Amino acid sequence: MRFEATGSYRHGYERFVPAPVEMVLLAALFIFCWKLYGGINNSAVAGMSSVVIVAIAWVLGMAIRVATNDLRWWLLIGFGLAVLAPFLAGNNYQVGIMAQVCVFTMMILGLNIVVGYTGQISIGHGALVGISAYFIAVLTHYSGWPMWPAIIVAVFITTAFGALLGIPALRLAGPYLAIATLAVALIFPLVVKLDQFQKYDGGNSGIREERITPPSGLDSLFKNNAPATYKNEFAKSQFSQQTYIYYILLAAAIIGTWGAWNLTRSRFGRAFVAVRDSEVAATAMGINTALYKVMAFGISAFYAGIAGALFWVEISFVSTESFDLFNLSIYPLAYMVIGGLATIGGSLLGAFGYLWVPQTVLKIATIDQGFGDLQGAITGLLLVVFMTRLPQGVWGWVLGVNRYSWRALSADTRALAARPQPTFWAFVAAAIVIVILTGAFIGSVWSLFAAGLFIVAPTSAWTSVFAPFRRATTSLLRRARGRPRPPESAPADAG
Amino acid sequence: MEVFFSQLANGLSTGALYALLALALVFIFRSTDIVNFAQGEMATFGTYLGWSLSRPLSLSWIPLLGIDRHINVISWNPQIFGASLSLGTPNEGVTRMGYIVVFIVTVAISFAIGAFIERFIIRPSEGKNLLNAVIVTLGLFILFNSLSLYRYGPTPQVYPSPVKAATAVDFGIFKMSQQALFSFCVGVVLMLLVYWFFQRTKLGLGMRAAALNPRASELMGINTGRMLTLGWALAAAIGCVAGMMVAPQVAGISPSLMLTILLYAFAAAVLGGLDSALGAVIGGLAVGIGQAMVVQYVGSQWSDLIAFGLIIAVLMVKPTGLFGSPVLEKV
Amino acid sequence: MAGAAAALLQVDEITISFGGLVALDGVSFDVREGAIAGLIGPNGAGKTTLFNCITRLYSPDRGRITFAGQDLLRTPAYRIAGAGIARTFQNLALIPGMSVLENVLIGAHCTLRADPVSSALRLPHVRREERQARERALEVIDYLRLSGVRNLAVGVLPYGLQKRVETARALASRPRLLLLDEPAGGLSHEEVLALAHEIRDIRDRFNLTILLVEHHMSLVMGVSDQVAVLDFGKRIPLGTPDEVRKDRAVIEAYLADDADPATEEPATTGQAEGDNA
Repeated sequence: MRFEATGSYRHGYERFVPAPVEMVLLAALFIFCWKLYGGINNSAVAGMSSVVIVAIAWVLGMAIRVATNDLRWWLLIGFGLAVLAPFLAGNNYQVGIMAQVCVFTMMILGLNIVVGYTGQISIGHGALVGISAYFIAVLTHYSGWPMWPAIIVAVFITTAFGALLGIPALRLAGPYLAIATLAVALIFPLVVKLDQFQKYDGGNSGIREERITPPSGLDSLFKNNAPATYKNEFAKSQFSQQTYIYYILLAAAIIGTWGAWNLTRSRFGRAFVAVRDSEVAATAMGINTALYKVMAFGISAFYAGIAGALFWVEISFVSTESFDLFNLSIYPLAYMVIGGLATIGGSLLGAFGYLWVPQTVLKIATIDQGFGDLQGAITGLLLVVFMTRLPQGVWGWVLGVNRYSWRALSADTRALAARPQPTFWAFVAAAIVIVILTGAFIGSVWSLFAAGLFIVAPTSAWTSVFAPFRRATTSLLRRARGRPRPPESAPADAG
Repeated sequence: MEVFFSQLANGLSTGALYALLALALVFIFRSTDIVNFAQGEMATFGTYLGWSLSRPLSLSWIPLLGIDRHINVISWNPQIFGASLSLGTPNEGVTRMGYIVVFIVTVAISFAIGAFIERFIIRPSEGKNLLNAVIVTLGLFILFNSLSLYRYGPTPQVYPSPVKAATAVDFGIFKMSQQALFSFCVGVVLMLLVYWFFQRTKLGLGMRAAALNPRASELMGINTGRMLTLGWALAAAIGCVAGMMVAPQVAGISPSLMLTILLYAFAAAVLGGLDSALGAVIGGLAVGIGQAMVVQYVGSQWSDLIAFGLIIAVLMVKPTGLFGSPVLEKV
Repeated sequence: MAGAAAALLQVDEITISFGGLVALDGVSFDVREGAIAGLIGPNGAGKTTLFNCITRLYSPDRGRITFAGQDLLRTPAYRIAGAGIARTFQNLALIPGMSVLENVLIGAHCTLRADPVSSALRLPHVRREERQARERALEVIDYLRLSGVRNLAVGVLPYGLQKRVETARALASRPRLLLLDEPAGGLSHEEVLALAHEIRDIRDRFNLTILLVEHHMSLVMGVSDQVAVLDFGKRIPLGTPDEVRKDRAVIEAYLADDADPATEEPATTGQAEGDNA
């Protein structure tokens, strides 16, 4: 999270005006929260209000930009929303989702340290989260320990186990390590399910405990301030419990984020990146690459252990199904990559996306039955597109796009329009069609969102996404016109 | 003793399928240094295509178009086009001829899908970072898994077979189901074909050269890029054949058809050495027999555990496997 | 510390071979404390291999390397920087995505002592240490005239600047001995002249001993206090530049080839292989 990179580029009046991307993201954030938290249900009203929302976003963005003149205000807004989330949310389910965001923030932060910063792939992190959660469950349920000591022991054990997981990394290069860690992720639920362990870990049925309850002072505070949607006393006490748990998790996630940020800008973060990018240089600079790889795995496992503990605090139920390969190993990895490798901001975005993209898809799925089954396909597609076209992830993309002021954007667009580029016009046409279609089928709010994305996406980002298609179309056109192909440029171009 | 030999025969039969999938993994690994996590899911998707082709003519033939799933009305009556276009009727299997046609068309489509993936998805991420490539194949893994689920639903579908799948053939000393025998034969024939292709044809030689030393073969006039595309396409086709052999033997084709099989294939490939075709075949057969024996004599819950444990053990002790060339030479 | 005043680095009968090809064959020489020593030789003479032996990326088959009384061959590669030896690479080994400042801070890694836990909590002593390292790094960056680009990613800088960043990174580890691998490679004639001055200045200012491998004859002869010549694994003479220049063997082995100073030593596989060593 390097703010210098974004803080220094703006000069003159532009530093008082939010960049297009900030505008649209802010507006989208507002709409997103408003809609998902149940603020607007009527699409006509939503369409009208989106204009107002954009106006609000603009004014707010300007005000904060004047005050701080860099991206830090995003943090402020995020923090404020996170703290107010239970009271903005429409129901307990959504508060629960936010709590899950905190759990996966921890997990993805850890994963990013080992995969993003140190460059050692791990598909086995689900097992680490599972080990931690299971240890807490077994210790509290069968051995009768209080929860907090159990958490400390479990996190300690997970860290040690994660460091062990790092030892293959010393011998194995990328693909081999991926297979080895995948095997670890697969073995974990099988071991838990073994008949021999049934009486210690509950086997298939898992372990359930009572969730923690807030102390009475906080309880009454939360109950008294519960949103109006919680009508009866039972709903209010549910809200109070969920909110209490959410705040514990939020505190842990904030401390964890802060710690990871500190770590990545300390000598350790630099050493991890050096190990990733050039082991020779790292060694020559006095970095013990083997030690640092194991250390990265250990730190990462510590975060996974905390995530497991938070998982237990939130759900108080573990079963082997909770720690399957997709949900706890592959999807978090996917969303981490989509969010942005080797950035803290990317990890936060990844955790948010991991929980909210499926929710959004489900929301849309109420219009098209069966669309919900496409969740995985959407994730997979996003992952493939990001990894092949925008490997820096959403976070890196936003930072890059953010350099586009309104002036640069309009200049670029004019330049593109001036040259007869078929792709550009195809792109514009597609954008218009998509905006109209989203408007017609899912509502004007989303159409505005789509329009915003198209406006904001600078030409460079889009051309990098569509480069092969552009090549394909131009060569098709050339062939259709019967002109000879120009000699191939350097073959390296294809790579 | 009959039990033992029957298990051995079954083990060989499943082992041949593991070997096929492991072979597909090895192809891709050798030519591009990528471990294709999506191999199994691509095969599942291909098998589903074959399944929908073996059904009466309908819009379900058009891949990815979810129409018949949501609006069941639009399913054309095959009678309109005459019986000749109908390769079979649902739930009754297909004719022999129909099966062969479906088989060939499905393999061809899988071949094309494999080529497409290499050309448009893998190549842009090539040469950047091995980590990127691994993550891309993970993305494809999720993508295909979910597409199968979306397109064909979670319920297992009966996959046709040209033989009476469940009927056992009695060899005196052991028994084996017809389908197992059939898939073993197909597996062996396919492996021999692959061997012949790589050892005896010019194209196969070109592919080997391109995998071994892309730059030198480029200078020798071999179109390396095309060879890589061909490698992926072949791998996808072989995987799809494995899928079509597996489907009649299990409860039916479902989105998770190849998931465990892929993992056994990983065990096979790792055991044999990820860059050795011979290793893949021997590893596949060994894993297949081992699995059958473990299921018979130790307990079925141990079979997965032992397979994945084997992966870790081999990688820790001897990452090159039994037949692989030293890992670190190839960077 | 026996003999440290006389010789900071003693290379003694180093022999290394790669699969039958003898790259270094009983090479020995000493480098005096505070001296600038030049190491020259034709392409493939094993100059970079020798560097890699000193920094322990390679382990020689035979011989001894002693640095300030410490047996380097018993020191693991990652302790070399802490022992006071910093190096640059012939074909640059920077971290392209990081800024210049961060790259230089990586150089300072071995001078920092913070542990992971206090780093994560950013305790006061970590903050102080980090601030001091930053100040020192900025000083070095200033000195090497890199202040203007210090927040840019190294990958986007031109080659010459990247070389300077490498030097800055090496200096940030506060070494006693600086190994420069072809500092003049890819520089123009004027820049080489300036470089000679710069190397001397670095030595005086940071109180260093410098060992440099170079192709560029006039640079080595102009700047060095002592010169060693390597000829396909064998060391020919050692002496002052004047002595070396008159030596017949050197003239035959090397100077005759020097007509084309533009020839680059082929990118040594040393570093790529070192990755896996």
